[in-house]
Amino acid sequence: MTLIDLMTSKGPDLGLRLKALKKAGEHKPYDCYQCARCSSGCPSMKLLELKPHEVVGLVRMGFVEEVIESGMAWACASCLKCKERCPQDVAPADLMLALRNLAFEMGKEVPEAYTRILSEVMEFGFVQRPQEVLTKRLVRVNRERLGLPKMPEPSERFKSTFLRALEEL
Amino acid sequence: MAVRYALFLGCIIPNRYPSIELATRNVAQALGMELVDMKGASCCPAPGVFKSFDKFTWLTIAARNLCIAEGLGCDIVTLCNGCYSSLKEANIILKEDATLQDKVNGILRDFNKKFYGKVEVRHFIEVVQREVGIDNLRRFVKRPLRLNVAVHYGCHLLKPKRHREVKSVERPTFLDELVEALGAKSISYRDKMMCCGAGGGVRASNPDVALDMTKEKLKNIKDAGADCVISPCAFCHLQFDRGQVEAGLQLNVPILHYVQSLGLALGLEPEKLGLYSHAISVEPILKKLAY
Repeated sequence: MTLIDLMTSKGPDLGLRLKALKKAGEHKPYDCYQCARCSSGCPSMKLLELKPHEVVGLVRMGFVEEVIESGMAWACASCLKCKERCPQDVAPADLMLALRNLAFEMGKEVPEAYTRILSEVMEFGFVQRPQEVLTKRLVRVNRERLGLPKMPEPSERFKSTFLRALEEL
Repeated sequence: MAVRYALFLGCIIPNRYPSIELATRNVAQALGMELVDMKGASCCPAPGVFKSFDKFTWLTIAARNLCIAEGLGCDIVTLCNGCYSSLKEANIILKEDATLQDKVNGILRDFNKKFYGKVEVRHFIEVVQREVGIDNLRRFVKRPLRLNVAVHYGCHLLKPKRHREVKSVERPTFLDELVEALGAKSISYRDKMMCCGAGGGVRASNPDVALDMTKEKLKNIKDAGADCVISPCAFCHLQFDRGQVEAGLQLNVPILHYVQSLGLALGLEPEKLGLYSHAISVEPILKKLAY
C-alpha cells in the first residue's frame, strides 16, 4: 500500500479500528509516537513496503481493511524485536497477529498454506507426517532405521477437542 | 543426576529430523537424565499459524498437551523454540487468567482432561544450565569440539523478555558460553541476533521472504569463516539446513542442533547422533574433528 492507494481508499473505518485495537490486547497502538524503533530492527524490512510503525499508524487512523488487503501482516516473522524495542510498550508483532485474526474473521484472502496446515493438524495431530531422507551416501534414513519408536496414531479424542475449540469461534 | 522430564517432541523433530530425537535420547542417557514420552501429544500447536488463525483454538490445543505432562507429574522439556514459546506462553496465560482457564477446562472436561497449572515448560538449554551447570558440563567433555562456531539463539529462546530468565535479548551470552564449554570457539558475525526467517508462519505463507532472511544470515556466517552453525531450535535448524537447498545456495554451511554438538563433545559416535541425515553434509566438520 502506498500513499496513492491511501488517497483513493474508502477512508477510515472506526468500527474496524476498535476491533483491531481490542484484539491487540494490552499493547495499545494509540500509545505509539512513531519513533520507528520497531522498524529499525525488523528483519522482514526489505520486503515490507509498509514498515511496522506505519502499520501501527494506519490502524490507529482506522485504515484497517486497507492494511489487511496489503497482505503485509503475513510477512512478519514474529521475531518480537519490535515488541522489545518499543519505548511505549506497543507491540507491532502482536498487532500483526490481530490483523491476521481479522483477515480470517472477515473472510479475506489468507495464505493457502495456513488452511492446509490447520486441516493437517486437525486430521493427524501434526503439521508433518514422518518422512524418509535419502542421504548423500545414498542411505535411506527414517525413524525405524534410527531405532526410534513408531509415531503414535492420530487419536479421535484429539480431533474432537480441536472441533470443540472451533465451536467457540 | 536424578532428573525426570516429559519429552515434548513436536512436529519437526520426530517427522523431519528424527536425527535430533535420536541425539536427544542418547545424550540424556549419557547425562543420566530420564526422559518420559508424552503419549498422545500433538503439535504444540505451531504458534505462527495457529495464533494467526484464532487464539482460543491455539490455547485449547496447547492446554491439552500441558495436561499430558501434568498427568506424568513432570516438567516439559522441548528442543524447538517454537514449541517452547507456544507451550510456555499458553501455560502462563492459563495460570494467570482464571476465566480463560475455566473456558478451556470446560472443553477438556469432555475428554477426561483438566488443566491444573502444575508443571513448568523448559527448553533443553535451560535444563542443561539448571541440571548440569556450565562448570560441571566442562567435566563431561571427552572430545573437545575444536571448531569455529556461529551460534544462533533463535528469537523465542530470548523473547518475550518478561517471560524469560535472560539478562539481555540484544546481546545475550549464555548460549555462547554453553557452546564454548564444549571446547568450541564462538565467533562473532554480522547481525548475529537476526531471525532465521522461518518464524511467524512466514515459511508457510511467504517462503521467498523467509529464504531472503535465511540467505542473508548464512552469508554473514560464511563470511565470518564459521565451520558450522549451532542452534538450539529444530525450526531454525530446518530453515538453515533445508533452506540452503531450497534457495539453491552453494554455501554448504553445516548445521548442528545444540544437542548434537553436546553429544559429539560427550564422545558419542556420529551415528548415535543421526549426523548423516542432514541436507547439508556435516562431514567436513567430522573430518576436522578427526572422525
